[in-house]
Order: sequence, then structure tokens, then C-alpha cells
Amino acid sequence: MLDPFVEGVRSIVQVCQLVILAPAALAIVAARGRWPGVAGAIGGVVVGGWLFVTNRFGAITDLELRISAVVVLVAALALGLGAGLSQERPATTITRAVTSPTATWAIPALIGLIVVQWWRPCVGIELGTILTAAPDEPWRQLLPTIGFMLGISIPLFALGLIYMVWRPAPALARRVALVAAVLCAVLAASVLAGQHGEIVSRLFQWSQ
Amino acid sequence: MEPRRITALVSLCLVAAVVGGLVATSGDDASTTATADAPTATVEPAATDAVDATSDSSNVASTDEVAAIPPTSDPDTPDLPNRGPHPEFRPVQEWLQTDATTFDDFDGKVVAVQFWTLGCHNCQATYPHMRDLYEKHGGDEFEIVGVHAPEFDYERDVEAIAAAAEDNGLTWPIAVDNDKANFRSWQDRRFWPRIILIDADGNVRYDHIGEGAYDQIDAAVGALIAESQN
Repeated sequence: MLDPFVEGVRSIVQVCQLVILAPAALAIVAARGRWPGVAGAIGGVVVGGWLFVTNRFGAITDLELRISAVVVLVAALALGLGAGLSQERPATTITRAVTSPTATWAIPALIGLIVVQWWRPCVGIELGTILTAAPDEPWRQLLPTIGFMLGISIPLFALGLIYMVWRPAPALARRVALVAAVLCAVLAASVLAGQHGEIVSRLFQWSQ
Repeated sequence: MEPRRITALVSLCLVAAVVGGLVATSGDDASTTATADAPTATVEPAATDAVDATSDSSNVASTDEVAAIPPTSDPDTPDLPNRGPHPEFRPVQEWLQTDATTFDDFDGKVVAVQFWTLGCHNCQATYPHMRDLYEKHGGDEFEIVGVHAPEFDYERDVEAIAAAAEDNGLTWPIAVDNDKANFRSWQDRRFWPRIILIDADGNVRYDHIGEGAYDQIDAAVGALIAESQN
């Protein structure tokens, strides 16, 4: 588990991991950096990673990609709505749902789980071993997969620590959360529009 | 400052130090090769392609395993079950560094089909090992076919592909698969790099995703060559 974890940590600087880290981080910020949101996002990434490597659902189709993008877009907007309504008394079922404590971790978890299915991983030695073996030996690759995905999730954990240090005023935290929710929704919209590959390509060329 | 905040700050610094140290030393560790370079080997989700990935019934990953090859004396030799005939190799834009015009020109040889792309850092990490493999086994009984399937538009440039091959000593035949027809039809989940070994009878015998397993691959090639000579 340690070697995959190390490889996961080392891979976070690669642009190919942005498809996971960017929306997951935005989801955490949209949840105002609270630890349930951090834990939910990391948990979603880990579970999503295991589903991905074991090929539980097969290769994602174009329709599935677009449907999942819609789900992420709605989830991001729900987080934003929750942040915006957090100071008000929830009056409807929807507003009660998005401002509930459950939403703080469940929505980032959902986003984390989904965006891993969009993943275009950089296949090093440890991940290559996992990907080769996992479809036939899913449970045997569980711990290595958890290790690798936890390694990738280190920036998400660091984001929670940043919020602990920063301790923004509630009003500021809400404003930042709203911006993050909008950005996450925009990112999902780009996937829905089929522009994700183009964005990654430009990021890659920029990074060079 | 509150104790909790101090603890969080210290923890953040520790995390940053650990991550920074691991990333900085990523080129030193022989067992891991991820670095700060740009996107490397990737999965290509079916959603980004026009071709339906699930329509190809001859896909490598979906073939049934038949009989396994008896173990050889080399302890690194992996199991080499017969997974059935390799998928159809579809016409490519161009062949480089070879007189071959189709994949059938390699019939009767053990073939290592490697899916790669020139911008892929993890693919680049395999170059020394592939060169060693070719130097050791290349000849009348073994061939490497590098199927270059671009991830980004700039990787479609045939001159750039040829230059990358020359600069890195990749002297084996290269199939320029700019439409990714073979990249998609040979893999249900598409990765770079990926090595598939085909025996002399045209059957798929070994499949490895990503870097690594070089000793296994070398032993597998040796075993398949020995099998073809019997």
C-alpha cells in the first residue's frame, strides 16, 4: 500500500490528475472547507478509484459522460445554494436538503466519485500493476488502490488544513464557496460540451 | 494563535514537505517514475472518441483464456494463457522504419505490440527497456510494433513521431495510428503505455498496462520464442 501511495503523491503534479483534483477541491471549497466535506470528497475519490480500476461499469460511454457531467453540475449548484442559504431558515424541502449536514459531505463525495470516472491517469508502475490485475482480482487490489487514491488526495487533505489555519469569517467563506460552486459547475459544463479533452490539451501544452 | 490553528499549520507544513520531497525525488526511485512533467500515459475514455469501443467483439480484454503455457525454468516468466487470436489490425496512416505495409507482414514472429505516444512521460520511461528487449531478442523470431496513437493534436505530426523515434533509439516498426482505430479496437479501456504480446501463431498471450514488469516481459518473450522453435 505504501508504494502505490507514494506513486499517487508523486503523480499529483501531473496535469492528468487535474480532472480529479480540480472539481474535488472546488467541491470542498464550495462546502466551506469543513472537514465533513473534505472527508466526503476524499472518500468519493477513493471509492470512485476502486470502481474505475476494477472496471465495474466498463468504459464510460459518451452518454454516460454527459449524464455524469449534468449530475456534477447540479451537485455543484446545490453546494452553492447551500452556502448561499446557510444563514437563512430553510423553508422548502430542497433548501433544507442543501443546507443539511449530510449535504456537506454527501455532495462532495458524489462529485469525487463521479470525476474519477472521467480520469485519464498517468500509468506508472504501481498504477499499471493495479490496472492490469484489478479487473480479475478486485479485492486483492483494494488496498493498493486505496493507497494510490489517498496519495492523489493529499492536496484535498491539505485544503482542509488550509481552512483550519485561515479560519475565514462566515460571510467570506460563503462568498468563496459560491465562487467555487460556480467554477465547479462551469467545469462540469465544459465536460458536458465535450471540451474537457481540449482543456487538458491546452493545460498540457501550457505546462510545457 | 490558537493551538488548533498552530497544529493545522504545522501539519500543513509537514504535508507540503513530504509531498515536495517525494516529488523532488521521483526521478531517483527505480520503483516509481512519476515526475513533474506534463500528462503522460493516460486512459482515453470512450466518450471522447467517435468509434464505439464496445462494438469490437475481438477486443483483447474480452477474449476468453484457453490453455496456459507450461511454466519454464525462468522464475520471472508470467503465466501466458492463450487468449485467442489478436484483434484485427486496422489500416494505419503510415508505417515508419519498416518495409511492412500491414500487420500480417509480421506473421510467424512473436510480436510485442506497444501502444505509445511521444508526449507520454510514462511511455518515455519504457524506452530503455524496450531498446534492451529489442537488442536481446530482435531478429527473425521477434519484432516490436510501436502503435503510436496520439493523445493531443500536436502528437499527430508524423515528422515529430519519426524524430522522437530516432532521438530515442526506437528502431522498430512504428504504426502511425492517428485515427486511433487500433488503439480503440485492441483495448476496451485504453491506456498508454500498454504492451500486448502475440505469439508466433497470432494469439494474444500477455498484456501489461503502464510501466514496469520489464523482467516479466523479457522472460515472456523468451518463453514465446522458445515455444515457437519447438
